[in-house]
Amino acid sequence: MVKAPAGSHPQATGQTLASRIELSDFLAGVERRAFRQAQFALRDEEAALDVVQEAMLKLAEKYAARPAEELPLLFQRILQNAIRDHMRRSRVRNLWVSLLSAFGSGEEGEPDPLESIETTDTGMLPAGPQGRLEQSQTLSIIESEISKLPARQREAFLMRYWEEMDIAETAAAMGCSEGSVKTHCSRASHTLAAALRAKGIEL
Amino acid sequence: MTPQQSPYSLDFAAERELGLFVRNQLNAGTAQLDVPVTERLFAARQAALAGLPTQAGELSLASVGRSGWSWLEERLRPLAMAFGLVLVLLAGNQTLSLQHIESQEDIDSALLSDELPIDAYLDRGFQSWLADSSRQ
Repeated sequence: MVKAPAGSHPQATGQTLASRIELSDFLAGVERRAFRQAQFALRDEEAALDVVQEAMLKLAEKYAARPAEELPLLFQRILQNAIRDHMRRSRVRNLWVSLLSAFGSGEEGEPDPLESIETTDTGMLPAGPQGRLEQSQTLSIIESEISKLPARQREAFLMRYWEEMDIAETAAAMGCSEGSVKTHCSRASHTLAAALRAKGIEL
Repeated sequence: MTPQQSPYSLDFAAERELGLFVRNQLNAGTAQLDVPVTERLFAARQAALAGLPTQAGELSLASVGRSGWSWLEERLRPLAMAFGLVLVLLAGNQTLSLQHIESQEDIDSALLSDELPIDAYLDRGFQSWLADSSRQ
């Protein structure tokens, strides 16, 4: 077999192997952030995991052969679509549930007060290192504020600053103009900054 | 960005600072994900990679040939099934008509050898044939 000169097209086998490794590395790097993004939007761990799995399968199935630098954009696009589809489906389901429960007895309307105590109880725990406690409090505030943002603003903000995509890439992934990406980002950051300032968090 | 300072660029710097702060916080958060969640994510990744169309190590020509063959197989399968069905129907028809001929054979041979079985007189067709042939 003649050795291929440097810079020539790689063999098909090498390409498949390379794209497999690249895809694996890419997914490993992005999966946790993707899960959190889905969780911010859906506020449900199980649903978020399902959505991430769906997005991964779709990326592998349809775009595995694409060059590695295109994967982040493609994956974001697939992920956001999967999140939106899931929200649409659950909205229809919730409509049916609320219609049906309107006919049924409304016994489970009262939330269990114990549940809310459990979630707000973290302040009563014996304090470990002070810094870590503060950090986890800051994190939970940030996460809940991000979760409260309008969907498009959150998408734009997280893609720009968490996924480190530039404005053009974010616009391509979101299917909108660069101008609206800037607008979404600036509104999101204003809201977040105001919320963090109100909670006494310094940047 | 242009070097000149405008209200927008100041705003942009503040936005960028906030973005970095949030990014660091969120990254710290993803580092502390629960084990069941990270295991599910790992399993999802493995499932996605297992679904890749071609495994590494297969020759491209061989795989093209194989996929071409499987394409042909998929196309030909309904045709082959239809052909098989037609064959089965023809064979069934053939055996049924053979059986019919065989059952007729007994009566015919009995008639020819003039040993009429009692059943022959019960047969309405035989009666009319008898009447017909005696009239001629």
